[in-house]
Amino acid sequence: MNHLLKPIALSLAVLAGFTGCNSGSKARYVDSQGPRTVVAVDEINIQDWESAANQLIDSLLASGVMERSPQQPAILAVSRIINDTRRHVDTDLLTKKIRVALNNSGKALTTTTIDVLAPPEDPLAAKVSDRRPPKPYFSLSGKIIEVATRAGDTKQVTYVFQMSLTEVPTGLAVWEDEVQITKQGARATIGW
Amino acid sequence: MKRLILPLLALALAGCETVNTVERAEPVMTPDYVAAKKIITDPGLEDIVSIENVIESTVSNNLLKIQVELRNKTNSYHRFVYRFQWFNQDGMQVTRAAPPWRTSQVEGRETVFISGVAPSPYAKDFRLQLMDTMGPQDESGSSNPRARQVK
Repeated sequence: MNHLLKPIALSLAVLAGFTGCNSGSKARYVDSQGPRTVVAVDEINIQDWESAANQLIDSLLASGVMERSPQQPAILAVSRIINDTRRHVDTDLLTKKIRVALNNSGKALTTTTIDVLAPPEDPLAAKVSDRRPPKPYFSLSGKIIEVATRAGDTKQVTYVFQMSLTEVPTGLAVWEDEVQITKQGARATIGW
Repeated sequence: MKRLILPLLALALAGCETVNTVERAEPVMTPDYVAAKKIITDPGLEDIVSIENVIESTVSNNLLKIQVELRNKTNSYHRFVYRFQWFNQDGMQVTRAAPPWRTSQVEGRETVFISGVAPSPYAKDFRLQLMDTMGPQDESGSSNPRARQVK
């Protein structure tokens, strides 16, 4: 019997060693958009920004409204994104992804030399450029809303990402969409 | 014994929240179906979610859009993540080395559609990866991703 127990005990010890290598307590790199990221119920996590931005990008590109601009690629300006959540968030986490996607798609270029709420994104370019800043054909605006509720130990938070694209010459919203991300739980977990 | 039957029946039915659907008997839509090749590394997920069809269209004049119809073959709710990878005419991946995973879920026997729009007009082909998330993992648990690809 002993001759059987020894290999089993050795195998278990080796297995325990390997499991220890993957222990959750050690710092490690994970894919920012992957299923091994931390999920916190009362925060907008990095994968939530990515998910919301990607759904909005797909919706915007599939709508075909960027083709309405007589100049291609269209000139886009980012207007106000209202943060109506209880936390301070940097809305560039959403808008930058949309800008990058539109730029890569060849459908729009974002102006960085005009801004109505703050100094322009690129003040140097705005100051030294001999040309007048190009007038944007589209303006992107939006709002992030948080809706929270609780039942017993379970907390549920919904983050609503609303986005509008306004055609500047007409002042009409030619594309609008909303993405909701709802999370339930009592504490932070790993995974989607 | 009779006392046990009702609780057992309730327990059995608890996991059976399936979705009933109604659609036009003779559809008027004319989808452009894509012949798909499947590479299956997770037979477990294959037993749960099946790919019914893959269709394509062009949006914004020159961007490829892919829509995939998935069916939950089981009677229970299931979650999974998926992502589209895009390739140009030469087979090179377009724009992002690691495209983001997106989350989706299906109720029992439900059919869902997932779609992706190519990030660039240069994207001519695609690959869809599906992965079982096996529910939320806590700090002590480690997920063991099992990937499934459709190209």
